[in-house]
Amino acid sequence: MIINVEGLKKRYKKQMVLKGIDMKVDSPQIIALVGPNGSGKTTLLNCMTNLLSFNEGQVELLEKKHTDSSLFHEVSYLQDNRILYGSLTGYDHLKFICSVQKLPTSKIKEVAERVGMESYLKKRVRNYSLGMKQHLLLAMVIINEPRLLLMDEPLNGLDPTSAINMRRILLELHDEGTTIMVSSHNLDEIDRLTNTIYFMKDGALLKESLEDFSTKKYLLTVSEVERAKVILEEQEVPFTVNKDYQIGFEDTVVDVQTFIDRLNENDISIQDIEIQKIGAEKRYRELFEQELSS
Amino acid sequence: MKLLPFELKKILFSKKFLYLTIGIIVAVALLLVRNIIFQSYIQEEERQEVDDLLDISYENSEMHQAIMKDNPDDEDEKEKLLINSSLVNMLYDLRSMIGGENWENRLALKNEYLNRVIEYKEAEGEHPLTFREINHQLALNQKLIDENIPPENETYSIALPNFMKQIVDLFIYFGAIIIVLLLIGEIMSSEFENRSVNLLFTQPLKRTHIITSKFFGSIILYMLTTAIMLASVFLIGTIFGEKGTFDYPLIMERNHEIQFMSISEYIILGITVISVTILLIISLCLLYSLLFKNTLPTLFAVLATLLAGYALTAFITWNPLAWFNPFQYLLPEEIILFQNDSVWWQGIFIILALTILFYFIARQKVKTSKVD
Repeated sequence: MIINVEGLKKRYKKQMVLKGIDMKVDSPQIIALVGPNGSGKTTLLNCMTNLLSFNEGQVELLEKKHTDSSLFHEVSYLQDNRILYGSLTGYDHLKFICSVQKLPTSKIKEVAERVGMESYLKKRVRNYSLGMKQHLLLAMVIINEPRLLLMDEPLNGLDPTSAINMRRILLELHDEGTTIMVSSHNLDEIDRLTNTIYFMKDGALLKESLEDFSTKKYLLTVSEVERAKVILEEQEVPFTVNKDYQIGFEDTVVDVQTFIDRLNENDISIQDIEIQKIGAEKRYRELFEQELSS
Repeated sequence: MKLLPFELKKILFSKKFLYLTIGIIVAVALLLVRNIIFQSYIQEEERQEVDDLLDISYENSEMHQAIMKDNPDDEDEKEKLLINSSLVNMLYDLRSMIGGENWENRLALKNEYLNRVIEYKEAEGEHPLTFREINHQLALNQKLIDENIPPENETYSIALPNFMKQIVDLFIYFGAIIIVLLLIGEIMSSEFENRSVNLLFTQPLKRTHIITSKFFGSIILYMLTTAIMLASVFLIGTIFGEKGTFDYPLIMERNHEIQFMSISEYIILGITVISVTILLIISLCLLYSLLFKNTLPTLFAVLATLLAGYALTAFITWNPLAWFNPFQYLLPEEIILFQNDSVWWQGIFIILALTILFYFIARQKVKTSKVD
């Protein structure tokens, strides 16, 4: 068993933050942990890594009790960038990890190249941008090639290029057999990473497979947006207009091929079609409708 | 001990350490500059001292004459008047010798004056100097003459050994404690505040090793800071000060007998006793950090403990208690220079015992410590 969480309950003063969480993961996969702020995502990750105590339940990672510090040879936890020391360089941080993980220092260069931080590896962290800090945090958690990687908001502060790189690295790690558990607000990225999502709502965990919610959003760049809008309005299809030339709609509300045919019949040319998976967002909207409306 | 180099690096490369080091060097330099500027003031101060004694003698003389006016046959008053007159003459001679080259004669005359003051006091004349002060001064002057060591002003000396003693006095009286609290007071609490402790707690490390590395790291940093202070005093004092001698005698009392201790011995003992106290403070800082997980309450608790200890030391002077008083070296000069029915090392055992106790409690505490 890679992750075995049973009946995990955590109370802060009188408020129950985690209400009996159960989670079992027995094969390498990417798992997303999604929920609004304060839903208990970070609390759950901190309980699993023995940073926080909990009131009831038990946690085992890779068949070891969560209190056994030796499990961190095979489990890494990416946290927020406050854990970094401003007075030290990225190299110092990685050297420290190598030292406690009993790894050769040659791994530092290797991981820096993989993450793309060679150019500022020897700069002090206090001079790093948010994105650079995220790179360092990523390097610190993958240098030991963990079997289980827990990540709390790894995409915070990343520019699109870095986000794409991060996604590539995570998918590579997954291919290498690493189980990755990511908490994130970025639903687009989650859609690109995995179909297995744990939604956290009011301290409870709801497992979903996005295979069941494989909604796609079509973004069509058309020659005449106004006329395309009229066709959609005639069919009473909800749609959005982006950047004055792109029209967007979900595949659940209209038959896409029929709509494209209608556009062709009306001599409206289609210059580009972009398809986005929006399963995570759609399911999130359904689950958190109340929070969204308030 | 894999953590130790990391711990040291964290502080050695911090701005705080840089500013503190610069601060120490600048403070040492400024104190020497002050002493150099006040060199001319030393003679003025000595003259003022003699003038004050002259004023007292004049007042005494008027008093004796007034009594004798009423009772011209009072032999005691006659004797006191006579001695007082000789004191006045000696003070005038002393005044004329201030600033002169012949310090041996000056000290010899001063001792002659002090012996005469003893006679005067024994004849029940009034004088501000106590017998203890007179005896200390007499012994020190004689020692300086015998060892052929010119006297140095206690406050404004620019002779390297005396200047170093001045700095060491500042260091052992709260200087070291302030430096340690500034430098390593937050060594553990800031990890909780900044959440960087999460990094340490999610590594394959025994948590007790974190405490051990922080404890020994703090000791090394303290030793390094002390070495920087002494080195800067030595360099600045050698370049801009005067040579002097580390054998310069200091008066001390051992079992109510006057004895001497050289400046070098005093510096070694002073740094030894304050260093032992620093061990206790480091272990207290670690323990309080784990309890409060916040720097301000931690520092406040350490300071409150030290203040309570200071009060205990200052107000309870019963000697056997000193064996159990871990705060006695907060008044280090008293312990070193006045070893009456006591020995300078008597506090070391209790301090080391408490340091070890607090260190082990901190090791136990960190095992179950959480970040919330």
